[in-house]
Amino acid sequence: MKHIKRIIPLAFVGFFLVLLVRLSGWTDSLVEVTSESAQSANDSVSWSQLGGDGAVLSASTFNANSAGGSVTGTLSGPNSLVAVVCPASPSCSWADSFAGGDTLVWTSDAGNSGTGPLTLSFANPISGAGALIQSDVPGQFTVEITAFGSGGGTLGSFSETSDTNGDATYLGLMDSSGANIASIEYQITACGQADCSDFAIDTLFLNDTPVSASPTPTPTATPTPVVTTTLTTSPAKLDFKNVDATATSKTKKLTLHNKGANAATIGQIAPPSSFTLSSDNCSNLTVAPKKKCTVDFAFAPATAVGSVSETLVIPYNGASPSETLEGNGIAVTLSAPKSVTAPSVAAGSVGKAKKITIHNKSTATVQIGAASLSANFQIASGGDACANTALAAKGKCVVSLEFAPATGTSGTLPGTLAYNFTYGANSNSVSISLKGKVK
Amino acid sequence: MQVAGIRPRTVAGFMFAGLMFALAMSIAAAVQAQTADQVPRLHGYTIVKPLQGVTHAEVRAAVAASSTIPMWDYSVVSPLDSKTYTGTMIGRSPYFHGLRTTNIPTFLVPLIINLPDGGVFDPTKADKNCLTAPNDVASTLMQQSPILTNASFTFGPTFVGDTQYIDAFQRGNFWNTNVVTTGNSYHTMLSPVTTLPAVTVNIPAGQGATYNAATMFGGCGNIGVMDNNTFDGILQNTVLPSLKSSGVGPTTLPLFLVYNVVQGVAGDSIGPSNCCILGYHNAVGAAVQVYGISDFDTTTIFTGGGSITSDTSVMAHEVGELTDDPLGTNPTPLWGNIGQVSGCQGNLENGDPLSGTVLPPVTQSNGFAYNLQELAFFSWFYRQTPPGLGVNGWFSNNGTFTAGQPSVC
Repeated sequence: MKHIKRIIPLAFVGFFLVLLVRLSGWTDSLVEVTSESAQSANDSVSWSQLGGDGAVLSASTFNANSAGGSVTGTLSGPNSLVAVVCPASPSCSWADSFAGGDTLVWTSDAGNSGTGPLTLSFANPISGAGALIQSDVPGQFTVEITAFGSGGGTLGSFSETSDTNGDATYLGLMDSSGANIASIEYQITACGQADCSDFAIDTLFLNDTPVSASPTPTPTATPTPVVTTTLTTSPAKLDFKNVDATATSKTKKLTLHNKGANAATIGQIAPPSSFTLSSDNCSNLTVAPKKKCTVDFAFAPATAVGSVSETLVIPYNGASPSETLEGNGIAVTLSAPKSVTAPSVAAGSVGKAKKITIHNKSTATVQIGAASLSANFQIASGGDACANTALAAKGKCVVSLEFAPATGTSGTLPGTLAYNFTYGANSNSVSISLKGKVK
Repeated sequence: MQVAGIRPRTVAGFMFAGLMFALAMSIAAAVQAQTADQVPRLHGYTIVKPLQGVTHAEVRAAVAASSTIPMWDYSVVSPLDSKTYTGTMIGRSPYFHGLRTTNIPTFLVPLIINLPDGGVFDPTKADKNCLTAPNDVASTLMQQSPILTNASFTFGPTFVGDTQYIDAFQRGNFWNTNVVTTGNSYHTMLSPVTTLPAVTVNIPAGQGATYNAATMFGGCGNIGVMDNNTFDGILQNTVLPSLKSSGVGPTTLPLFLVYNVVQGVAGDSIGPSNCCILGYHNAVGAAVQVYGISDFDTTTIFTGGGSITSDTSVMAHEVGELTDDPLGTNPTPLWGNIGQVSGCQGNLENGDPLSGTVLPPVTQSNGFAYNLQELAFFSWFYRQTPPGLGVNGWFSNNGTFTAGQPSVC
């Protein structure tokens, strides 16, 4: 009796698992295909039937035909294009690694509405499909294919990462148990920028009839829905604090650590605006599990942007870790005495020169313009070492000021000495209040 | 024989009169030549107002959501200093595998400037004094210009397209990426272009003044000067909001046009320390509204004389700059002592290094010969190794630059 009591729940669990697998449609008869020859297709869909180069797929769906029946393509919006690959055609819009003259479906881009993923639905279920895919964004990318059964359930999905050049990559699948595939979906899951919805697909190869149990597929035994690579960053935030506009901060090091089980293939790391990569030992490299690489960043605000907090994207075959780069771009000022009293002199005469020093305490070089000076004051002959000069970081210059009250003036006369200066695309000024007493 | 209205004279009398006339004419010509040599010129220049208070992540989000005009990001390592520079441009990346046309919906907005001293500067009115009929209305000339209407552009030996000027420039700028490979596929077009009814701007007292360009500077007509900050405040707070109902907003590019009106910093005086901003571009707000403003000059009173800053030269400068540096924040290695820049500058303002240099005039079907300023290529700013990315291996679109500027700053 005891044994029977144990067997009944186990049998129930086993029955439930079988039922779950049947309902979800997952099948171990589905295999990944990574070349046209391995696909052994007996049918294909040429996109040239949709129009010539630049033809706009004006609706979010389009129809094409293969020998085995019609195929309906579905995009997220209108304005995708037919593209022809250079250089075999005089009219072409797609450059690079597809065969010249091939006709593509180009899923447009965010700016033109019609983005991926691209779903291809078959009027008659098929047993296999595959195509060459390329991300629009240059550089390495990862493409994913998912198959769906007649009831809409997922049969399985596979991912494939391109070579580091980002050349067109073949990805397909086959179901050795029969023509169970009602639709497939292609999407780019990783590329050199945040938005990867934009890609092109070459001729679609189909297996209209059930394929044999061992057709020479790529020996990938099981569906691999998710890449388990995990990159972490340390520290999670790089804060460069205050940096003068047009100057560059000291560098800070970021360490990327592959804590996943798979190798991490890293794309080109692009620093956010106002930040620079001063040393990069990670981009376009593969980091083995448990290994690290480092990147040095600096903050180089071109303008007084104020407080900046930017998210750094690490393009690789996994989810980008959270990394923030922060800094505060500040305006450059020059230091000078707030006020200067020139030696007294009689009206109509010129007093002794008074030296005024202007300091550039910032870390940026500034270009000083001409002096602006009030009446009754003048600069001694050859006594302006500041005007129209480039004053280096931490540098100083001296100007010799003379009080020269005009005939008929009396009492204490005010004035101002000012210089405008620029640094990069920025400008500022320094101003000194002047005073002189007429004897 | 007697000619009506002229009394008969002796031959000797005619000879004497002729000699006197010739003498008088030669003196007049000499005086005139001297006057022309001594005509004071105003310093005309342009500025940029960088986007402030908005992070690049917010800009990217706006672009991804199509809530601003299309923009793309670049990242480049300059051989000059081995630093990586990132920036943003209008349109679509020429580095992408797929090349296509990006349309930027554009509004041309003529502004009638009323200055407090009674001066009125209206780009929609015929000016028979400084222009010649039928091409005597500035806003019409701008509409028909190669900036907004296609023309045939050949840079040196290379035909780059029947297109708008800035599209031709941008194609030439990135010619050796995927642009030349894909033939006629890559374009960044101001399209559709809508010209709105003129908007009247009343400049407050003390912020604008009218000067006689003819008597003061030997030019043509009057020149208006208005305070730059006051004017930009009116644009942002009054004009742009009023145009919302016409469709103007962050997903479009407004180009404001004034006629023989320049700007001062600060104030409305015409002295060399204050004057004269001929145009600028700006980007404001988290939704990122990019806009430009340009003077259509027919006074010919600026440094270098007529063609350099005349008619559409300044608009070409501004639209070129806002295309390649729409946020005014694209950093570059320092460059300078060239064009309108007397010191050093570190941004990708592609008009500034060549202010004062124009292309051979481009004559449109209306018969008007347009002046277009030459612009510097991307490769010039980042000192890329020749031949760089530009057409003909050039570093500017008329071949003035054939290499990046050596380190001078």
